[in-house]
Amino acid sequence: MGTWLQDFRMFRKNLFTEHVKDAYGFLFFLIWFPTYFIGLFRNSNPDTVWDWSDMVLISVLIMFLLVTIMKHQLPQQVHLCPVSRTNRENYAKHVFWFRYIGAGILPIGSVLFMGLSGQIHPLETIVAIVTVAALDYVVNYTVYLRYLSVDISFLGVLHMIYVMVMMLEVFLITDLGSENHVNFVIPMIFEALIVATNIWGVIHFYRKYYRISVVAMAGYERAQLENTNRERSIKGRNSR
Amino acid sequence: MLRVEHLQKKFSFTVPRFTLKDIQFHLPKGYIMGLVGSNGCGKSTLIRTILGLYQMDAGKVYFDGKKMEVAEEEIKESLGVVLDQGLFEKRWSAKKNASVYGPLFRKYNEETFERYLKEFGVNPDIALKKLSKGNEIRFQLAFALSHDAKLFVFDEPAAGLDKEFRKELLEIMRNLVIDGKRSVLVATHIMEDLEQSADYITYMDKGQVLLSDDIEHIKDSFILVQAEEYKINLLPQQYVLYRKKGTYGTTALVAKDAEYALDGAYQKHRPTIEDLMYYYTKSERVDKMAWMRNYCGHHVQERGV
Repeated sequence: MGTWLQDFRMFRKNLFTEHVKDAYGFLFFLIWFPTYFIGLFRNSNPDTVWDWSDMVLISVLIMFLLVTIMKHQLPQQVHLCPVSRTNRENYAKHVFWFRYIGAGILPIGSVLFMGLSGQIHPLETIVAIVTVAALDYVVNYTVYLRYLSVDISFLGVLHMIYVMVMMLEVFLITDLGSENHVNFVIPMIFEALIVATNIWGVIHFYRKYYRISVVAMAGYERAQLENTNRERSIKGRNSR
Repeated sequence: MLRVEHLQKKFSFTVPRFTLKDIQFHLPKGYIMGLVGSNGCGKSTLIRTILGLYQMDAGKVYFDGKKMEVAEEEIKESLGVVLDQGLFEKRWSAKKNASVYGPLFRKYNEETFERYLKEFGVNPDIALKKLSKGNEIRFQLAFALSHDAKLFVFDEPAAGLDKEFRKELLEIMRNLVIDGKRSVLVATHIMEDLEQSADYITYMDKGQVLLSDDIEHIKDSFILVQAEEYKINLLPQQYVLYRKKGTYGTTALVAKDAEYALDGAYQKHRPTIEDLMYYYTKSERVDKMAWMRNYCGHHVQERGV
């Protein structure tokens, strides 16, 4: 326990703050804020149509996003340090929840705001919130898995596809206030396909990691037992 | 010290697909092992898999008898890693990197780290990205030494560096194992360096271990024979791996078993590891992998080292 706390403090003090400053701040301010404001702008101007300048903006944002994603993994040197898998997992969990809440709060908040103010139908509001929350969860879960290994050949690709879709999704969802509801249906279908593929990916990786964790746990218990036995022997020897 | 058993790792998403197949070798305590092979044979991938940077699909890695999956934390306390492209934060100075990662090691000693940096002539306050490659390697080495590592893993540490630095590095490696308590695993394609320092060689080809044995035994298992072409043709062909025609005759790499057939008309030489790699790569024998394994003897663990 002491070691876990020690490690976590170390992470929090150094790696985590550096990481957040670099990557999360970048993601948050450069991606979600413009998205949010553009969405609000669209909602206040329902007659506006998408034009090439929107597409350029989306492309630039996606580019920024991709650069940001590449930073989103545990600093690789940590994998070479004596930090146990459990500690890395704990750290990744904190990052996961931080990202999950951070990334979800604006799109969910804006949809909720639109729903409560009557701009969109309550059913659409619920579907949109559930969709964003689920998508946010899966996206960040892939990030979480990437924190546990630098083996990104598979997860990296999944994650990129995912975030690109999510990016478009946020644009389209925040555009719900307009009359053009077809925007809502198309990404939903697209998303369902990708969610299905990625859930398979997550299950696949989860099973693999779970197996390793179980093995690690068994080793830990054995070590504890050996320690107890050793202590008993030493006590016995001293008493004789 | 380090034992790798039946390690497998498949990369399904690379083009072309790459697999590490049934990797086995054993590096005893107090020795230097060279991991050699042509570019793309899987040396770096193997090192990354052993270090846990890649998740292996199957197999076991033992360090001092402890299994990596079970005692990862304990094992990593004793690992000193020096990579061609280091994984430290490039924007940070050597000092800052050490202050972040050092305390994660129980035996890390800041004074030792600073002493080695000074000894190696590395400026501790400059961002790693501004250091020369040689100095970045020196920094990684100083860091590894400062937490009292027992197994040093080098991945192409001298690639693209001058001979002077390579000599210095070889000297450091030799000093590391001098007390017999530490071992070095070094992946390189600079054979000249290995000839001088390595005790064991693990030779890889297409993701497989072709040979893993002590260097003297490997060299003793083959003979480099020079003679006129017709004389080489007279040799039992099952013993010949490859022949190279030259201006003054033909040179062939043959198995030691063919020694009985070598009379005074043949000039015999002890091959270097570079010769072995060259003749192996050039050979068009379909069974060259099996040939090499068969005539070299066997893997280290089979010989009970």
